Amino acid sequence: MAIQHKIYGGAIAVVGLLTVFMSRSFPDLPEGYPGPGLFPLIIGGLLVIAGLSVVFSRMPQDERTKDGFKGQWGKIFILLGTILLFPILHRYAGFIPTMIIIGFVVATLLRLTFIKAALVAGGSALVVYLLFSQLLHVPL
Amino acid sequence: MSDIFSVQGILALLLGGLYGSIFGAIPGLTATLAVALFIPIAFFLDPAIALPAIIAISSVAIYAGDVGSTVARIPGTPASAAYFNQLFGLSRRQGPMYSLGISALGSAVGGVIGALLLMVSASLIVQLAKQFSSFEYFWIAILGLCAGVFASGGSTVKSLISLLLGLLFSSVGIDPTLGFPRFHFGSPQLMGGLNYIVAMIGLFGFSEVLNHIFRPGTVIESEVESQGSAKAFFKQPLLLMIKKKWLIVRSSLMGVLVGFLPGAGADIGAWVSSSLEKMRQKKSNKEAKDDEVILAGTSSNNAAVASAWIPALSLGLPGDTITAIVLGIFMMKGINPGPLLFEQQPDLITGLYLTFIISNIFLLPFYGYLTALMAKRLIKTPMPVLLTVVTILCMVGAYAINNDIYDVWIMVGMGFLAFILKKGGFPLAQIVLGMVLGPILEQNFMVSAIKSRWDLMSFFERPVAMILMLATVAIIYLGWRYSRGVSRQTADD
Repeated sequence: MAIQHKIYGGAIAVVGLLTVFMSRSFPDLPEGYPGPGLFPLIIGGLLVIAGLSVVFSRMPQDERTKDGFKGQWGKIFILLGTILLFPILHRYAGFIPTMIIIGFVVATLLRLTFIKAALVAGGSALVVYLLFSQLLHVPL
Repeated sequence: MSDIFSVQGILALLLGGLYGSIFGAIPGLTATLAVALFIPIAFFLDPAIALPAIIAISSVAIYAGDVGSTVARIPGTPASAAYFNQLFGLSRRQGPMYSLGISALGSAVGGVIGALLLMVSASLIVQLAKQFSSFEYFWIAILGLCAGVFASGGSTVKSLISLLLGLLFSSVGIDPTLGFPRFHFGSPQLMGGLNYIVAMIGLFGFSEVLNHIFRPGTVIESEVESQGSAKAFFKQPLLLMIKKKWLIVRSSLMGVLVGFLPGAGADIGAWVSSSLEKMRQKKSNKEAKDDEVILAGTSSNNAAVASAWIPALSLGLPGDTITAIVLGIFMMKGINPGPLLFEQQPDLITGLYLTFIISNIFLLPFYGYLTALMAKRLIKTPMPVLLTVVTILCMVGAYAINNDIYDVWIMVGMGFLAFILKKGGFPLAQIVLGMVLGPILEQNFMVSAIKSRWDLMSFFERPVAMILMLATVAIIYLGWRYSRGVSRQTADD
């Protein structure tokens, strides 16, 4: 898994470089003093240094045994895809049915049976909605 | 102010405490939101009733932020994020009653110490606060950041990277110097910046859901089946507190000192104290004791809640967002906060002091016990059921903050980022620390630099700034020595 360790470091360094690059386009203060770009420039620079130091360092002992990215990626993307439908579902089905659908997908992905998933999703969506909108008067 | 002991006064305290405990325990609903939503009611109440209710709401809500950490590793407040892993771990090893007992009773003692100091030394502290300028605030922010980096327990570089990511997120939106929009990518919502409450729901709540979906079966079950509830909640934490009395005093004093600085508040108090305790444990090569870290953080944050009222009452400067709202209520009621308030409204001031004491001595243990009993039941809920509820809470909590779908995207994005970072061994709490301290750091650096016409030596010239700088250097030195020690030990192994 040492390659993952280096990918993380490289990705952080790239984020730092992009930050430095973007912050160069921010304006300076009058008389040429640094302005809004200074803070992100320092953060970006430090991210580059820290990212590279991860790339060129040995992987810590306690991380070598971790199996990192082996898992159920398909399920992750199903959930993220369902959440991406939130605006459409919200517009056409309303708030509570949208929450029930998302809750049902999560419960099913977590291996609850169809009936149990429907009950848990329906019950919790309704309780959370009532808690926010009726008891606490938080507008939804 | 005898109103506190009237029927209305007692009801205001009891209902305020209940309301605060519900808001604090639910992810996304904060003490600030609870107080903000209370404004329309406060408008129709006498200040002598409304202000104690606000104190009860904020004191209990800050504690209740620990309930989410205990049940599902989701801190309810940024202050709670400072020691959420310790709370979660301890609740699995020794039960939620014990971990929340430490939290509630530690909060109560810290709150009482904060209130007593508020009573005894308000005027003295006000004089000290007047000495603080942007230079001192800059060093306070640096001190908090350094303590956070070295306190993570894992790789210092990874902890630094998490912190830098948090600082980067804090720089999204309008900059504090010129009002120039940064990193908004044409989105009007991003111009307003990233809300750290939304980010926190994603980082700690939604990422946990993704983790369990990705690899089911990685559930940490509670090892403690049933301990006597009252014994675990009251007796054992009290024994620990008697044993660790100096830790509580030290952390409460730190909370008071940080809390009275305008703009700092309970969050930074909790971070500094719990980080210092983690570092102290590391330095003495002792086995990490989660209960002591929780005690440090929790006593500090409630002490800061009390002391945040010092600049609000005496200078008219808000110590945190809650006291900013309180100042609005003062104005609404025609009360002018400032040094004259102490002379013109002594009854009001005495009543506020009394309310702090009553809230911390009676309300916190009472509502603390009730919420701990609730957490004890919740902790036994099957993980798929709990995580379905957590997902819905995360979505609704993020959406409810601004009634904007955009916040849901931010929450989901942060959750996915946290999920990826966790796989690489990056700590998450440091991201929140960066997001909280980033604006304070940048604003005070820029104000100081512009004030001194970019003479950077001016950052080292003021006596209080020098003391803070030396404390920062000491923390970096101790942290560096510890990291080196760990690296050598690993190499030897």
